[in-house]
Order: sequence, then C-alpha cells, then structure tokens
Amino acid sequence: MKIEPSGVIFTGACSIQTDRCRARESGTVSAVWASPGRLQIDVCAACLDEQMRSGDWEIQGAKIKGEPDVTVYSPNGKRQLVVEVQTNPSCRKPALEWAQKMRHNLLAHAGIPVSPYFMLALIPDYLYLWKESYPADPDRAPDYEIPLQEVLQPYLAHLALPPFRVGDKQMGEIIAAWLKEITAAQPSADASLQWLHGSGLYEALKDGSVEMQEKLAA
Amino acid sequence: MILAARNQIGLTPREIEYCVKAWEYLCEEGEGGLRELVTAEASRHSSKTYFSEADGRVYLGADVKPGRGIEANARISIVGCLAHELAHAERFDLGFRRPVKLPDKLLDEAEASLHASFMRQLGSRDREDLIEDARDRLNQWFVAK
Repeated sequence: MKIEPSGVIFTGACSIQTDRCRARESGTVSAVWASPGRLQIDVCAACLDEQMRSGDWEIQGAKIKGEPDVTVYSPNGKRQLVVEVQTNPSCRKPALEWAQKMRHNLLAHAGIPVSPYFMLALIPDYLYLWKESYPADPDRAPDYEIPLQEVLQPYLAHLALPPFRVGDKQMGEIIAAWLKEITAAQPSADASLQWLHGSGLYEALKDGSVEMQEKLAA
Repeated sequence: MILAARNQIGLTPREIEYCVKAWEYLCEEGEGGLRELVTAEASRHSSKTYFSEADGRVYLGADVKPGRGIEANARISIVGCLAHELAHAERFDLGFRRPVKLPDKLLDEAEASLHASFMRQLGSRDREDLIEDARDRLNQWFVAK
C-alpha cells in the first residue's frame, strides 16, 4: 500500500499496534495518509518501520533500512552485537584483508547499526570480532579472529556439510543458534572460548535475546 | 529579503516540547537509537541548530523553525531541519568527517540534506525541500571553489 507521511508529529495512540508498538495507548505518533482515499493513519516510529520492512507500506522516496543478519540485544533491549554473514567470493584473497574491506564498505554504504560489538562471519574461514568505538574507525583491524570451524563445529557436523557449502542464510541461522546458546550458557574455562570472555562479549550477551533478519530466533 | 533566512526568535517552551517529540520520532528507529537533543539554548534569539562532532549531540536552536527567506533552506520545516542534523550524526557514525572550511563544508551539507531526504518519517514537501537545499548548496560550492 502506498503511504504518504504528513510530517506532523503529535501524542496519540498508534493505529497499527505491531508487536514492537511504542504507543499502544499513548505515545509519539505521526499521521500518514493511505491512498486511495487519503485515509489518515496514526503510527508510531516502530510500527512505521515494521510496516516498511514487511513491505506492507511503501513510501515514495524513502529508503528501506537494511537489517543486519543477526542482532543480539541485552535483557533491557539495548543492541549489543550485530552480525553480518558474508561469503568470501575468492579464497585466493587473504580473509583478513577481505573482512576489513567488507566492514569498511558496510560502514560507509550500508550503515551498520551502532552497537558495542560487530562480528563479520566470513564463510568459510573465520569469525571476525570488532569491539566498536565511537565514532567507528572504518579501517581498523578486527580485535579477534576466530576460526569458524572451531566454534561452529557441532552445528556444522549436524548438517554434515563443510563450511564452504553452507549458504549465507543457513550460516546466519547457525550463528543465531550458537549465540542463543551463549546467551544462556554459564561461564566457561574452555581455552577456545577465551576470546569470548576476554572481549567482554559474554557479559554483554548474557541473558540477551537473538534476532534474525527475517524471523525471531529466540 | 535575505535569501537563506531562517527563524531567529527564541523558541517557546511549547515549541521546544514539539521539537523534542519530533526528534524522538525521527531517532527512535534510526541507526543509532535515541540520541540526545540539547535544548538549553533553544529559547535564545539567533541560537543555532547543529550537530556537534565533539560530543555526538544535536543542539536545538531558534533556526530549527523555517523563516522568511526564499531559498529552499529557509522553507525546510522543523522536522526536516532535525532530519538534516540527524543525517549529520548518522554520517558521522558511518565514518564521514565533515570538512569544516568553506567551500567543501557545502558538500557535506548537501550530502546531509540528501541523506535526510530518504528518511521515511518525512512528508513529500520536506523531502523535496531537502533535495532542493542540497542542489542549492552544490551550486554554491561550484561558484565558490
């Protein structure tokens, strides 16, 4: 449905009331007009975002916000970790160099949402973790390089597929399941998980919730 | 008639309250979440609305309201002006560093207006005004360079 925002912002109840609604009874809403008929709909920012993302609403000239593949939120709803899953199209290129270029491009053009941690899962080799600073330095090397097979082996073994045969979407699901496990796990002395505790990521994710781009994973 | 004149009269408490509400609506689902809007100087005459790279906050000023100038910049509404400042903040987060000297500062202003023009919360009038503002600033850059 084509929608035209009025640009008028006021206090009221949202007419849409998605799961993420911020104005169920009263809150900041804006009037938009639905065509045909210029029917007025009052909508909060969260529901406007949801309607756009689902494709139910279309606003001429407005950008559809890109969503990260996986996002982990703390129990109080703050974004803690953003994960992008990419395949290294040419294993001839050093993975680290490719990962840095990829993050640079994502920061400059796609707009990675601001979060304390950013992870790039580069299929088939590594997970790269950046502890983000403000403002982000687009050319900084990752803080941790984690062999992908080392941490995801149980999931990959279950699929009976080598990492290079796993697609981006499926890898996103694997990573979401793995992160969900981390949010509920007890601290571990496992040496292979030293990076998880040393980086502070474990504490940041503890008891958090994991969301995938298209559907809730937790 | 000053071409680019925006409002200079200090904002009333009610106007400031509206700006805060509009800011929340713009930021809520934005890339960086809710950012702080500093309103301490908004009631002062000739105060400016701007994004501070030093502390990452946006300062509200009297010129958030449109004025009587005839350029697109003077027409941009309160929501459009706040969207422009939010665009500066988002671009800063993305790693863009604004040139502080003229004429290159004009390029950053033009890009911020274009960036803002894509925001879904804006009405079509605001979108057009921001695009026209970007065009004007690019023209000024060509003349000044």
